[in-house]
Amino acid sequence: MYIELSRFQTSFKDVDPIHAVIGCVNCHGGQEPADYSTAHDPEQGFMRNPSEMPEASCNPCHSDIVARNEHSMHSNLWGEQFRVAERTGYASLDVCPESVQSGWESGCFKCHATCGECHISKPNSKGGGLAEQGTRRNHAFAVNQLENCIACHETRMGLDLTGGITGIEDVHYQSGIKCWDCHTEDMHGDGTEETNPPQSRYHINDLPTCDGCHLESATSNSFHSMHWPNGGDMGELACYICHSQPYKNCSSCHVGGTGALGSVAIKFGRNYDTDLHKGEYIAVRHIPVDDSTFVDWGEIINMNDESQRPNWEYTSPHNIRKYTTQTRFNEGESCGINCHLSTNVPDSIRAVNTSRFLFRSDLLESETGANDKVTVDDDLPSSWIPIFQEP
Amino acid sequence: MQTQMKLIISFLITTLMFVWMACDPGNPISGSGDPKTCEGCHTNKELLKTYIQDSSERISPKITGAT
Repeated sequence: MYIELSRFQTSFKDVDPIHAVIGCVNCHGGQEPADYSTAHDPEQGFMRNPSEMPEASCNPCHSDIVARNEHSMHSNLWGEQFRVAERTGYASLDVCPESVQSGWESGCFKCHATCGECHISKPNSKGGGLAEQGTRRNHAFAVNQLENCIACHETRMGLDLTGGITGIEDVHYQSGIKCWDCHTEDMHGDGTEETNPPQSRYHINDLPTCDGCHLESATSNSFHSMHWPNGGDMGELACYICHSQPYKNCSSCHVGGTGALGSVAIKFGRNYDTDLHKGEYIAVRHIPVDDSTFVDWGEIINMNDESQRPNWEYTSPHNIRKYTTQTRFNEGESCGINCHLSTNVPDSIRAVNTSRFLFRSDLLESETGANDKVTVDDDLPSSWIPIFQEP
Repeated sequence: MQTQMKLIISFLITTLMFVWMACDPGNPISGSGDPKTCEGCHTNKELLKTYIQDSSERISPKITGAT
C-alpha cells in the first residue's frame, strides 16, 4: 500500500490531519517501529482492513455511526433479503430453507462492504486497492463518487450517470453534482432499521425526490401542468417517463450463473404500487429474474403467478436530461408526437410510439401473470384505443 | 502614471516570488523517513517495490538509513 505524497505534503498528516493523529498501529495493529515481518504479524494484532471489526477500530470516535450502520441497508442488503424471501415464497430470509440462506450468504451478501471499502479503498468486490490513486489523497478518509458509490452501483446507475448507454451523461452528473448532494439520507442508516428494516431501496426514509429541488416547475409549462406526477390534469406521469434516456434492461440471470443478458430500452408501464411511487404511469425496467433464478438454491419460482412480484419493476434511471426523444418536437407538431399513440400524426392511422409502452405482447409467455398489472393494454386513454387497434 | 504601474507590478512580482520561496518546503521527506516506521515505508515507493519483490519469500528486507 503506497501512500503518495505531493510536493507540499511531508507526511500522512498532510493527507488526513485528523486520522493521522491516531497513528497507524492504533487502527491496523502490528508493531512500530519494527521490521517487515513483525510489523505485519497477525500475532501482533495486525489487520489489513481494520474496519472489518468496526466496533474495535472505528469506536469510540464514530460509535453512533457504527451502531446505526450495523442495521443499515448497506450493511444488511435488506432489499435483497426481502426480495429473495418474497420471490421464493417465504415471509423473511430467516425462515427460508437452509439452501437459500446459505446461497444468499455466499452469493448476494458477498457484496457487503466494510467502512473502509467505502471511505478509504475501493470495494473488495470491485478489486480493492486504495481509492484516489494519483490524487495525493489516497488513504484519506473520504468518499469518491466513481471509486466508491459507482464501483458497486455500476451496472445500471453508473452506466446511466456517465452516459454509458447513450453517450449523453445525466444532467446532474454533468453539472458536477455528487451522489450525496441529492442522497442526503444517512447512508449508515437513520437508526430505525433495527426494528423496521426497509423492504427496498425505495422504502428508505428521506430519499431524494425530483420535486425536492424542482417543485417550482410543477406549472412552469403545459407538459408539467398536464402530467405532473401528483396533480397533473391529464394523466399523472413519473418524471422519468419524459426525462429519462434509454436504459439497460436485464434478463435470464440466475444465482451462480454466468450473468444476465442485457438490452436497451425505455418502457412506460402502469404504476402497480401507488403507495410507494408517484404517477399513474411509471418507467419500468426488466430486472434479471425468471423462473430459474434460484434453481441452484433449490427453488423454482413461477413468474406466471399473478401474486408474484413483477420482473418489469419500477425504475428511477439516473440518466436524466431536460430534453429527450420524448420531449422534443418540431414547431407545428403535436407536443405528444413522440409519446402518444399517434393521435396527431398527419395522415396516419397507424399506432406509433408503441415500443415505448409495455404491452402484454412485450411479455415473455413465462412471465405474463406477474407482469399483467404493469402492462398498459387496459389502461390507455379512450381516444388512443381505436388507433392502437388499427392493424 | 506608466512608471507607477511598472513599479507596482515589479513590487508585486518580487513579493510573490518571496512568498513562493517561503512556502516551498523543498524536497518532501517522502521516502526518506525511517523505514522501520509505517509511514516511512508506506510513503517510499522504491522501498515498497523491494518488499513486493521479496514478499514471495517472506523475508525481512534489509533496512538501511537512520533509525
